[in-house]
Amino acid sequence: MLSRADNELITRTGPGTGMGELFRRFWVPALLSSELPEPDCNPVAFGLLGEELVGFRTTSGKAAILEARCPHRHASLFWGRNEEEGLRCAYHGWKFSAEGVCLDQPAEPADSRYKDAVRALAYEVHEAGGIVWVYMGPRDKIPEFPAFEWTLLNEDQFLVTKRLQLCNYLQNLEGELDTSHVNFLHRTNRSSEDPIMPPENIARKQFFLSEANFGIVAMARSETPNDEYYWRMTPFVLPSFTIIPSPLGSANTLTAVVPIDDDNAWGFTATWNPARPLDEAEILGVTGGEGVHVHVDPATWLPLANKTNNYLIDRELQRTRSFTGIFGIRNQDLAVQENQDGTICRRDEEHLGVTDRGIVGMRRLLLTLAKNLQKGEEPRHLQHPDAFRARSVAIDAPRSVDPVALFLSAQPESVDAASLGSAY
Amino acid sequence: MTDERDRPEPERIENLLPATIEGVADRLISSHTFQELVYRESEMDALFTLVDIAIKTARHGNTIGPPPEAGALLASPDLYTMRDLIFAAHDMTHDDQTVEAAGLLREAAAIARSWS
Repeated sequence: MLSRADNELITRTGPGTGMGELFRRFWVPALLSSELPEPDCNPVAFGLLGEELVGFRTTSGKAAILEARCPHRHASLFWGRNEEEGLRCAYHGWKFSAEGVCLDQPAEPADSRYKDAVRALAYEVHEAGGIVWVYMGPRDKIPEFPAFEWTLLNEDQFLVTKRLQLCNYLQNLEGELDTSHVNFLHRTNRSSEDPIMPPENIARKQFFLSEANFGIVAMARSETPNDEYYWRMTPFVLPSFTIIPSPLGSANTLTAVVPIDDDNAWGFTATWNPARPLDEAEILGVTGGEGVHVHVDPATWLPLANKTNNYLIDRELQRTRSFTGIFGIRNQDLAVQENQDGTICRRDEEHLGVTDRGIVGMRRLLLTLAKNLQKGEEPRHLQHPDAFRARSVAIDAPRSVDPVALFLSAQPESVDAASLGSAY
Repeated sequence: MTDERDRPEPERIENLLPATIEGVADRLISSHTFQELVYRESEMDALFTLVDIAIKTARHGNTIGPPPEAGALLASPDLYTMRDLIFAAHDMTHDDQTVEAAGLLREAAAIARSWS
């Protein structure tokens, strides 16, 4: 549970809010690179952290993000002309560079130097891993870009998708850290003869947390038939990213949820194979719509199965083979996450169980960091960009194996115990 | 990363007996690490659930199911005080005021003792 005050603090992310300021200390995904497919392409309007923004790619190929409203009389620059290294407002022709410099004011007097004093709000942009990232915090606090593993790979080793999620970011983030729900919400059998409830040894888990320089590792273990432990280890990577537990040597998937405003979020999902190009099965896992990458309307990014059509629930399928009757892991998540008291869960009235320990840890970390930031203390995690290269773990192991050692053994060579550290 | 070895399993909280509540208070006093404090929060979450469900069951007289295990306490107005104490202790733990939070839990335990 959270007090109403803490629930407000952790869910509100607009400018000037505690959590909004914490988000603004980190690089966050803003757009897919493919949304700005070529120089001088169409500009894209979008929301992020309660602000209305516009993205465009300049003539020389640089991705840029400006506040959407023109400084003049606040018409949207989305209507503007993307031409010759700048975005020109459709209203009166004021033109701005990728850095927000006013390049032209064609209706002002010819000898006017007024434009030299005018600036559009422009944010720092970094393009990597198929994503246009943005930093929206203080200029003197820009951190080094974190070394997310897929952003360091060749383009044929990763795929990235995006969706619109119709709820507060935290409801998605909590779901990603709730490994217990996987055995129920996402249970689909090959045959109607199989039991719809999971075996007890799989369903009942014990939960642990470990601190790390990127955030937290949420660890869950269950019994296996051969007297070992099955471990699922989910890195929670600040400010709002998680890496889905995957078997060693297989593709990893990171989900990043970023607030559009307090009632909506962008969900970015990246799948990568660190060793080789994605194979046919891995690509189908991204494009098939059955996993965590979802089919969306390309104009709005709204998933095709959504709350207006009850996520296309099939009650006959639910009676026979699927716990939910909803197709696709992400659609199943959306169905439960997009209405928990509506778009913002009333956490002062919830009743948590032991399976929610990862969620409790994540909330505690975010709230502590936000409160510390309000007192002037910057998040220490920003000093460790290499730690953000972490991978997840899903593995059977003898009971005697130390889970922290197990987690470290799955990490890239460049990530060692010291770099993961204990930052908190 | 923090070493995971030799960590005791977190306690299960399944009743509102004085000893159960006092046990949380005792462990809270000696909790300092991130994980220990998360465990204590989880234990207080469970205490809150037990008392809050009991209150809601009593308040909604049209609920037809059997009362929860804490149902013997349904008539006690002290339940509201106990819930407030547990909620406040949980909040204080979030703000690292663990000694003060443990004090509130002991007040809640005293209420539970008055029922026996």
